[in-house]
Amino acid sequence: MHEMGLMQSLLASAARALRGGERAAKLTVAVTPLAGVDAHALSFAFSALAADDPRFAGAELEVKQNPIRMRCGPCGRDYEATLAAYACPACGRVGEWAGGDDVSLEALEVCHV
Amino acid sequence: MCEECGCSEANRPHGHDHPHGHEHRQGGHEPRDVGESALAFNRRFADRNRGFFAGRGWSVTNFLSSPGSGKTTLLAELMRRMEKCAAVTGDLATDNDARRLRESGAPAVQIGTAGACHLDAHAVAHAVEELPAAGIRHLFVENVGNLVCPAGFDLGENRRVVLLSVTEGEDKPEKYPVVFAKADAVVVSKTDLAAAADYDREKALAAIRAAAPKAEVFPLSAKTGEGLDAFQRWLETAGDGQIAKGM
Ligand SMILES: Nc1nc2c(ncn2[C@@H]2O[C@H](COP(=O)(O)OP(=O)(O)O)[C@@H](O)[C@H]2O)c(=O)[nH]1
Ligand SMILES: [Mg+2]
Ligand SMILES: [Zn+2]
Repeated sequence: MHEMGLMQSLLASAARALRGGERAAKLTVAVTPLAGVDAHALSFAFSALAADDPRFAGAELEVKQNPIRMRCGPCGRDYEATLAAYACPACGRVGEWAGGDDVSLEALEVCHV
Repeated sequence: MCEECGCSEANRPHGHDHPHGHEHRQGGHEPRDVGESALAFNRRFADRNRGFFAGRGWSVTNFLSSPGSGKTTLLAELMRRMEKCAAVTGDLATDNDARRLRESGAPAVQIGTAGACHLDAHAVAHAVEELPAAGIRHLFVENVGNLVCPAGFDLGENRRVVLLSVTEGEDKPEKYPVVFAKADAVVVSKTDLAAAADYDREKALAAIRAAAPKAEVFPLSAKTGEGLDAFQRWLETAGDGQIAKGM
């Protein structure tokens, strides 16, 4: 629901990484299920916002779904959880969060003209 | 692949010319170091709030639920029972909830979000400026009624509580798992209505345990007072929750 605002922040980050006159070719945005972000809404926000900005017009957006990462204290195991199953596959206990619930600009490709 | 330059978007017009040849690598696209969070702005204020709350010795609890699950009713009741409470409450419009909360005798500040679907740390930072500097031990933050958006916004709270009323359907946690994931407690509210709503306790508990793996569960009725003591004790004694520990 706030994908528009998130995309504005992501584009602002990308704009800061661009040097004068450069244009973006591709943005890779990483989300996890915990971020509660809808990839379609994010793409829609990108199309709407990028179209009006010469630095982003025509650029591609990739929304990468990262897994929920957890670490089990008792057995020291790193594992991936889902929104329906948080327990450690080895011992059945619920581990600690080892990854964020972030929405971040993971990669930016700059068009070198 | 775009035949002009190797961009991976096939049929979309590029919107910019590529006056470069094709001898370059990576289609003329240079990777640039980034790695910035879209939530960085909120996080800065959340961290600031955490410091502010700690400095004043406040224990801060963020309450989330669908509209109508009973947040305001529960908070008003807690503020009548507990010493040194204050509240900040968010709604899209009106200051009805802050007025209801103030009837408890404790201070309450309304945040009008003007359409925004969640509270953010910046709005909370300004709202707490209106509270008295002394005499507060427990700050309750009533988030905007919404089971989706508030989940992603750390307010600098010590603990996060999600309410689920017995009239909402036992499978709510399965439908909205994200908001439950980092709950430190889940309150099952309006238990006085359980029979009328054909509430299935076992089914609800199973759904809550699956979606909120680290939460303590408190069934209660703000109307009859059933279960309130246990939840009040938890609020008065529990330490930092998952959000405050950065997990
Ligand atoms: N029967 C009953 N009704 C309740 C209880 N708590 C709240 N309500 C009612 O539920 C409605 C919504 O409550 P409110 O506190 O405004 O919910 P909020 O939107 O989450 O703040 C109101 O009509 C309340 O009177 C309860 O414990 N039992
Ligand atoms: Mg309310
Ligand atoms: Zn384990």
